[in-house]
Amino acid sequence: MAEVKVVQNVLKHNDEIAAMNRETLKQAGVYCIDLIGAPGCGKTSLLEATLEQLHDKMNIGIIAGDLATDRDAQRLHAKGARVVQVNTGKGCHLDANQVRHAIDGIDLNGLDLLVIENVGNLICPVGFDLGQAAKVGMFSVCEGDDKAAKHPHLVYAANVLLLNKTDLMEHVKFDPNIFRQDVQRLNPDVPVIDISVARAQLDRWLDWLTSNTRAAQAVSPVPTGNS
Amino acid sequence: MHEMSIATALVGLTREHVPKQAQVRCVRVRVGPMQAIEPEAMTFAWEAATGGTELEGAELSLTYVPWSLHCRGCDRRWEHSDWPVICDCGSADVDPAGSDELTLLSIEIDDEQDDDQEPVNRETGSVIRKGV
Repeated sequence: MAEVKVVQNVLKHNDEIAAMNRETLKQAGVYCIDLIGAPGCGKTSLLEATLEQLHDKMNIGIIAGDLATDRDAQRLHAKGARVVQVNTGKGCHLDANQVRHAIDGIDLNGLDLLVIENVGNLICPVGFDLGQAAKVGMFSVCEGDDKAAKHPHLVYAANVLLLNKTDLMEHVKFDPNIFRQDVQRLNPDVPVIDISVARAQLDRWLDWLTSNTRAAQAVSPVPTGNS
Repeated sequence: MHEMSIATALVGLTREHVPKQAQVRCVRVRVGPMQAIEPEAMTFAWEAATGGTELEGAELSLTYVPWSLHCRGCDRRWEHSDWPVICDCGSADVDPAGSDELTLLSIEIDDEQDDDQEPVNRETGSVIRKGV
Protein backbone atom coordinates (compact mmCIF):
# COMPACT_ATOMS: atom_id res chain seq x y z
CA MET A 1 0.00 0.00 0.00
CA ALA A 2 1.26 3.46 -0.83
CA GLU A 3 -0.11 6.88 -0.21
CA VAL A 4 0.11 9.78 -2.62
CA LYS A 5 0.11 13.04 -0.68
CA VAL A 6 -1.82 15.69 -2.55
CA VAL A 7 -3.38 18.48 -0.39
CA GLN A 8 -5.11 20.36 -3.19
CA ASN A 9 -8.39 22.21 -3.52
CA VAL A 10 -10.82 19.80 -5.19
CA LEU A 11 -12.33 22.67 -7.22
CA LYS A 12 -8.89 23.91 -8.27
CA HIS A 13 -9.63 23.71 -12.00
CA ASN A 14 -12.99 25.45 -11.63
CA ASP A 15 -11.36 28.21 -9.62
CA GLU A 16 -8.53 28.61 -12.16
CA ILE A 17 -11.03 29.03 -15.00
CA ALA A 18 -13.11 31.40 -12.85
CA ALA A 19 -9.99 33.53 -12.34
CA MET A 20 -9.49 33.58 -16.12
CA ASN A 21 -13.12 34.66 -16.62
CA ARG A 22 -12.67 37.41 -14.03
CA GLU A 23 -9.56 38.68 -15.77
CA THR A 24 -11.17 38.55 -19.24
CA LEU A 25 -14.15 40.57 -18.01
CA LYS A 26 -11.97 43.04 -16.11
CA GLN A 27 -9.81 43.63 -19.17
CA ALA A 28 -12.96 44.24 -21.22
CA GLY A 29 -14.37 46.67 -18.63
CA VAL A 30 -17.39 44.45 -17.97
CA TYR A 31 -19.00 44.22 -14.50
CA CYS A 32 -20.34 40.73 -13.85
CA ILE A 33 -22.94 39.46 -11.39
CA ASP A 34 -24.04 35.91 -10.60
CA LEU A 35 -27.82 35.93 -9.96
CA ILE A 36 -28.89 33.06 -7.70
CA GLY A 37 -32.46 32.32 -6.66
CA ALA A 38 -35.09 29.59 -6.49
CA PRO A 39 -37.16 28.62 -9.54
CA GLY A 40 -40.03 31.06 -9.84
CA CYS A 41 -38.62 33.83 -7.65
CA GLY A 42 -38.61 36.11 -10.68
CA LYS A 43 -35.03 36.12 -11.95
CA THR A 44 -35.87 36.29 -15.65
CA SER A 45 -38.71 38.76 -15.11
CA LEU A 46 -36.35 40.95 -13.10
CA LEU A 47 -33.82 40.86 -15.92
CA GLU A 48 -36.49 41.75 -18.50
CA ALA A 49 -37.54 44.74 -16.39
CA THR A 50 -33.91 45.71 -15.79
CA LEU A 51 -33.19 45.62 -19.51
CA GLU A 52 -36.22 47.83 -20.19
CA GLN A 53 -35.05 50.37 -17.62
CA LEU A 54 -31.35 50.42 -18.46
CA HIS A 55 -31.18 49.71 -22.19
CA ASP A 56 -30.41 53.33 -23.07
CA LYS A 57 -27.82 53.64 -20.29
CA MET A 58 -25.71 50.52 -20.69
CA ASN A 59 -25.09 47.46 -22.85
CA ILE A 60 -26.03 44.27 -21.07
CA GLY A 61 -25.13 40.68 -21.76
CA ILE A 62 -26.81 37.69 -20.16
CA ILE A 63 -25.78 34.08 -19.72
CA ALA A 64 -28.98 32.20 -18.99
CA GLY A 65 -28.54 28.88 -17.22
CA ASP A 66 -31.34 26.34 -17.28
CA LEU A 67 -31.63 22.59 -17.35
CA ALA A 68 -33.57 22.77 -20.60
CA THR A 69 -35.14 25.09 -23.22
CA ASP A 70 -34.01 28.43 -24.60
CA ARG A 71 -37.12 30.26 -23.43
CA ASP A 72 -35.22 32.61 -21.13
CA ALA A 73 -32.80 33.48 -23.91
CA GLN A 74 -35.70 34.30 -26.22
CA ARG A 75 -37.38 36.50 -23.61
CA LEU A 76 -34.17 38.38 -22.82
CA HIS A 77 -33.03 38.69 -26.42
CA ALA A 78 -36.37 40.34 -27.18
CA LYS A 79 -35.48 43.02 -24.61
CA GLY A 80 -32.22 43.85 -26.32
CA ALA A 81 -29.65 41.83 -24.40
CA ARG A 82 -26.74 39.89 -25.87
CA VAL A 83 -27.76 36.45 -24.65
CA VAL A 84 -26.21 33.01 -24.51
CA GLN A 85 -28.33 30.17 -23.18
CA VAL A 86 -26.53 27.38 -21.37
CA ASN A 87 -28.52 24.17 -20.95
CA THR A 88 -27.02 22.12 -18.16
CA GLY A 89 -29.04 18.95 -18.79
CA LYS A 90 -29.14 17.49 -15.31
CA GLY A 91 -26.67 19.97 -13.80
CA CYS A 92 -28.13 21.97 -10.92
CA HIS A 93 -25.69 24.88 -11.22
CA LEU A 94 -23.33 26.55 -13.67
CA ASP A 95 -19.58 26.06 -13.42
CA ALA A 96 -16.73 28.30 -14.50
CA ASN A 97 -16.00 26.29 -17.64
CA GLN A 98 -19.58 26.58 -18.92
CA VAL A 99 -19.40 30.32 -18.29
CA ARG A 100 -16.03 30.46 -20.08
CA HIS A 101 -17.57 28.96 -23.23
CA ALA A 102 -20.61 31.22 -22.92
CA ILE A 103 -18.39 34.31 -22.63
CA ASP A 104 -16.69 33.23 -25.86
CA GLY A 105 -20.13 33.47 -27.50
CA ILE A 106 -20.81 37.04 -26.35
CA ASP A 107 -19.39 40.15 -27.98
CA LEU A 108 -17.72 41.93 -25.04
CA ASN A 109 -16.91 45.00 -27.11
CA GLY A 110 -18.73 47.95 -25.51
CA LEU A 111 -20.47 45.68 -23.03
CA ASP A 112 -20.96 47.21 -19.57
CA LEU A 113 -22.65 44.50 -17.58
CA LEU A 114 -22.79 40.71 -17.79
CA VAL A 115 -25.47 38.95 -15.76
CA ILE A 116 -25.12 35.22 -15.19
CA GLU A 117 -28.61 33.96 -14.45
CA ASN A 118 -27.77 30.76 -12.62
CA VAL A 119 -29.91 27.63 -12.63
CA GLY A 120 -32.88 28.07 -10.25
CA ASN A 121 -31.46 26.65 -7.02
CA LEU A 122 -30.54 28.18 -3.66
CA ILE A 123 -27.86 25.66 -2.71
CA CYS A 124 -25.72 24.15 -5.44
CA PRO A 125 -24.67 27.34 -7.28
CA VAL A 126 -23.30 28.97 -4.14
CA GLY A 127 -19.97 27.14 -3.88
CA PHE A 128 -18.87 27.50 -7.49
CA ASP A 129 -16.89 30.58 -8.40
CA LEU A 130 -17.75 31.64 -11.95
CA GLY A 131 -15.55 34.74 -12.17
CA GLN A 132 -18.30 37.15 -11.15
CA ALA A 133 -17.59 40.42 -9.34
CA ALA A 134 -20.65 40.05 -7.11
CA LYS A 135 -23.15 37.40 -6.11
CA VAL A 136 -26.77 38.52 -6.02
CA GLY A 137 -29.10 36.34 -3.93
CA MET A 138 -32.78 36.58 -4.78
CA PHE A 139 -35.78 35.55 -2.69
CA SER A 140 -39.50 36.25 -3.03
CA VAL A 141 -42.07 36.65 -0.29
CA CYS A 142 -44.06 33.66 -1.63
CA GLU A 143 -41.24 31.36 -0.57
CA GLY A 144 -41.77 32.19 3.12
CA ASP A 145 -39.96 34.35 5.66
CA ASP A 146 -37.76 31.43 6.78
CA LYS A 147 -35.93 31.09 3.48
CA ALA A 148 -32.90 33.13 4.53
CA ALA A 149 -32.43 31.03 7.69
CA LYS A 150 -32.81 27.84 5.66
CA HIS A 151 -30.20 28.88 3.12
CA PRO A 152 -27.39 30.35 5.22
CA HIS A 153 -24.69 29.63 2.64
CA LEU A 154 -26.28 31.84 -0.01
CA VAL A 155 -27.04 34.62 2.46
CA TYR A 156 -23.45 34.56 3.68
CA ALA A 157 -21.96 34.49 0.18
CA ALA A 158 -24.18 37.21 -1.30
CA ASN A 159 -23.01 40.77 -1.87
CA VAL A 160 -26.60 41.95 -2.09
CA LEU A 161 -29.97 40.29 -1.49
CA LEU A 162 -33.19 41.02 -3.35
CA LEU A 163 -36.62 40.35 -1.90
CA ASN A 164 -39.12 40.20 -4.75
CA LYS A 165 -42.94 40.13 -4.99
CA THR A 166 -43.31 42.50 -2.05
CA ASP A 167 -46.65 43.50 -3.60
CA LEU A 168 -47.93 40.07 -2.47
CA MET A 169 -46.73 40.47 1.11
CA GLU A 170 -50.23 40.94 2.57
CA HIS A 171 -51.54 37.83 0.81
CA VAL A 172 -48.90 35.36 1.98
CA LYS A 173 -47.49 34.51 5.39
CA PHE A 174 -44.32 36.57 5.36
CA ASP A 175 -42.97 38.56 8.29
CA PRO A 176 -40.33 40.93 6.90
CA ASN A 177 -38.83 41.39 10.39
CA ILE A 178 -38.12 37.68 10.74
CA PHE A 179 -36.54 37.60 7.29
CA ARG A 180 -34.33 40.61 8.02
CA GLN A 181 -33.31 39.38 11.45
CA ASP A 182 -32.16 36.09 9.95
CA VAL A 183 -30.23 37.89 7.23
CA GLN A 184 -28.62 40.19 9.79
CA ARG A 185 -27.53 37.19 11.86
CA LEU A 186 -25.96 35.41 8.87
CA ASN A 187 -24.43 38.36 7.06
CA PRO A 188 -24.56 41.68 8.90
CA ASP A 189 -22.99 43.54 5.98
CA VAL A 190 -25.29 42.51 3.13
CA PRO A 191 -27.83 45.05 1.92
CA VAL A 192 -31.40 43.77 1.42
CA ILE A 193 -33.36 45.48 -1.34
CA ASP A 194 -37.14 45.09 -1.50
CA ILE A 195 -38.42 44.99 -5.06
CA SER A 196 -41.62 44.29 -6.93
CA VAL A 197 -41.05 43.40 -10.55
CA ALA A 198 -44.84 43.28 -11.10
CA ARG A 199 -45.24 46.86 -9.86
CA ALA A 200 -42.00 48.05 -11.48
CA GLN A 201 -40.61 49.00 -8.05
CA LEU A 202 -36.94 48.56 -8.86
CA ASP A 203 -35.29 51.91 -8.22
CA ARG A 204 -32.95 50.82 -5.40
CA TRP A 205 -31.91 47.72 -7.36
CA LEU A 206 -31.24 49.75 -10.50
CA ASP A 207 -29.22 52.25 -8.45
CA TRP A 208 -27.18 49.43 -6.88
CA LEU A 209 -26.54 47.83 -10.25
CA THR A 210 -25.68 51.06 -12.05
CA SER A 211 -23.39 52.41 -9.33
CA ASN A 212 -21.53 49.11 -8.94
CA THR A 213 -21.09 48.78 -12.70
CA ARG A 214 -19.75 52.33 -13.00
CA ALA A 215 -17.50 51.90 -9.98
CA ALA A 216 -15.98 48.75 -11.46
CA GLN A 217 -15.48 50.42 -14.82
CA ALA A 218 -13.82 53.42 -13.19
CA VAL A 219 -10.96 51.18 -12.09
CA SER A 220 -10.99 49.04 -15.25
CA PRO A 221 -7.74 49.01 -17.26
CA VAL A 222 -9.50 50.03 -20.48
CA PRO A 223 -11.85 52.91 -21.26
CA THR A 224 -15.43 51.70 -21.71
CA GLY A 225 -16.00 52.97 -25.24
CA ASN A 226 -19.07 54.89 -26.29
CA SER A 227 -21.83 53.08 -24.45
CA MET B 1 -26.75 17.69 -6.05
CA HIS B 2 -23.58 19.73 -6.55
CA GLU B 3 -21.92 16.57 -5.19
CA MET B 4 -21.89 15.24 -8.77
CA SER B 5 -19.74 18.15 -9.98
CA ILE B 6 -17.43 17.65 -7.04
CA ALA B 7 -17.17 13.91 -7.73
CA THR B 8 -16.28 14.62 -11.35
CA ALA B 9 -13.64 17.14 -10.27
CA LEU B 10 -12.24 14.58 -7.82
CA VAL B 11 -11.95 11.92 -10.53
CA GLY B 12 -9.99 14.40 -12.68
CA LEU B 13 -7.66 15.40 -9.85
CA THR B 14 -7.09 11.78 -8.81
CA ARG B 15 -6.04 10.88 -12.37
CA GLU B 16 -3.54 13.74 -12.34
CA HIS B 17 -1.81 12.36 -9.27
CA VAL B 18 -1.55 8.61 -9.76
CA PRO B 19 0.21 6.54 -12.42
CA LYS B 20 -2.20 5.19 -15.00
CA GLN B 21 -1.81 1.54 -14.06
CA ALA B 22 -2.19 2.18 -10.31
CA GLN B 23 -5.03 0.53 -8.47
CA VAL B 24 -6.63 3.25 -6.35
CA ARG B 25 -7.92 1.97 -3.02
CA CYS B 26 -9.06 5.14 -1.30
CA VAL B 27 -9.33 8.87 -1.94
CA ARG B 28 -9.24 11.04 1.18
CA VAL B 29 -10.97 14.40 1.22
CA ARG B 30 -11.39 16.99 3.96
CA VAL B 31 -14.70 18.87 3.87
CA GLY B 32 -15.64 22.17 5.47
CA PRO B 33 -19.26 22.66 6.52
CA MET B 34 -19.76 25.67 4.23
CA GLN B 35 -19.56 23.27 1.27
CA ALA B 36 -22.96 21.83 2.26
CA ILE B 37 -21.92 18.36 1.14
CA GLU B 38 -24.29 15.58 2.10
CA PRO B 39 -22.19 12.46 2.80
CA GLU B 40 -24.66 9.97 1.31
CA ALA B 41 -25.16 12.08 -1.81
CA MET B 42 -21.39 12.50 -2.11
CA THR B 43 -20.75 8.76 -1.85
CA PHE B 44 -23.52 8.08 -4.36
CA ALA B 45 -22.06 10.65 -6.76
CA TRP B 46 -18.56 9.22 -6.33
CA GLU B 47 -19.79 5.71 -7.17
CA ALA B 48 -21.62 7.08 -10.21
CA ALA B 49 -18.60 9.05 -11.40
CA THR B 50 -16.13 6.18 -10.96
CA GLY B 51 -18.37 3.30 -12.08
CA GLY B 52 -17.06 1.61 -15.23
CA THR B 53 -13.72 3.42 -14.97
CA GLU B 54 -10.34 2.33 -13.63
CA LEU B 55 -11.36 3.99 -10.33
CA GLU B 56 -14.39 1.75 -9.83
CA GLY B 57 -14.42 0.33 -6.32
CA ALA B 58 -12.14 3.00 -4.87
CA GLU B 59 -13.38 4.21 -1.51
CA LEU B 60 -14.12 7.88 -0.90
CA SER B 61 -13.15 8.82 2.65
CA LEU B 62 -14.65 12.11 3.84
CA THR B 63 -13.38 13.88 6.94
CA TYR B 64 -15.69 16.64 8.07
CA VAL B 65 -14.08 19.51 9.92
CA PRO B 66 -16.06 21.82 12.25
CA TRP B 67 -17.03 25.40 11.55
CA SER B 68 -14.11 27.77 11.88
CA LEU B 69 -15.53 30.87 13.55
CA HIS B 70 -14.35 34.39 14.26
CA CYS B 71 -16.30 36.77 16.46
CA ARG B 72 -16.03 40.26 15.07
CA GLY B 73 -17.29 41.59 18.40
CA CYS B 74 -14.54 40.31 20.71
CA ASP B 75 -12.05 38.91 18.14
CA ARG B 76 -12.29 35.36 19.53
CA ARG B 77 -11.50 32.47 17.15
CA TRP B 78 -12.77 28.97 17.79
CA GLU B 79 -14.14 25.82 16.18
CA HIS B 80 -17.74 24.79 16.64
CA SER B 81 -20.16 22.15 15.46
CA ASP B 82 -22.74 24.69 14.33
CA TRP B 83 -23.23 28.06 12.68
CA PRO B 84 -24.85 30.58 13.04
CA VAL B 85 -24.18 30.90 16.75
CA ILE B 86 -24.01 33.64 19.35
CA CYS B 87 -20.51 34.21 20.78
CA ASP B 88 -19.96 33.95 24.55
CA CYS B 89 -19.50 37.73 24.53
CA GLY B 90 -23.08 38.09 23.34
CA SER B 91 -22.28 39.20 19.80
CA ALA B 92 -24.13 37.58 16.89
CA ASP B 93 -21.57 38.91 14.43
CA VAL B 94 -19.76 35.59 14.05
CA ASP B 95 -17.98 35.10 10.75
CA PRO B 96 -17.46 31.54 9.40
CA ALA B 97 -14.79 32.54 6.84
CA GLY B 98 -12.50 29.61 6.13
CA SER B 99 -15.22 27.00 6.68
CA ASP B 100 -15.45 26.36 2.95
CA GLU B 101 -12.49 24.01 2.69
CA LEU B 102 -12.68 21.16 0.17
CA THR B 103 -9.28 19.51 0.00
CA LEU B 104 -8.06 16.34 -1.66
CA LEU B 105 -5.62 15.16 1.01
CA SER B 106 -4.20 11.93 -0.32
CA ILE B 107 -4.77 8.90 -2.51
CA GLU B 108 -4.11 5.37 -1.34
CA ILE B 109 -2.95 2.97 -4.04
CA ASP B 110 -1.82 -0.63 -4.39
CA ASP B 111 1.75 -0.83 -5.60
CA GLU B 112 2.34 -4.56 -5.40
CA GLN B 113 3.40 -4.93 -9.01
CA ASP B 114 6.41 -2.65 -8.62
CA ASP B 115 8.21 -2.85 -5.29
CA ASP B 116 11.69 -1.94 -6.48
CA GLN B 117 11.27 1.69 -7.28
CA GLU B 118 9.95 4.62 -5.32
CA PRO B 119 7.03 5.57 -7.57
CA VAL B 120 6.92 9.18 -8.65
CA ASN B 121 4.07 10.81 -10.50
CA ARG B 122 5.80 12.13 -13.64
CA GLU B 123 3.38 14.99 -14.19
CA THR B 124 3.33 16.44 -10.71
CA GLY B 125 6.54 15.14 -9.21
CA SER B 126 4.64 13.83 -6.18
CA VAL B 127 6.62 11.18 -4.37
CA ILE B 128 4.52 8.20 -3.44
CA ARG B 129 5.42 7.17 0.08
CA LYS B 130 5.67 3.45 0.72
CA GLY B 131 4.71 1.38 3.68
CA VAL B 132 2.07 3.74 4.99
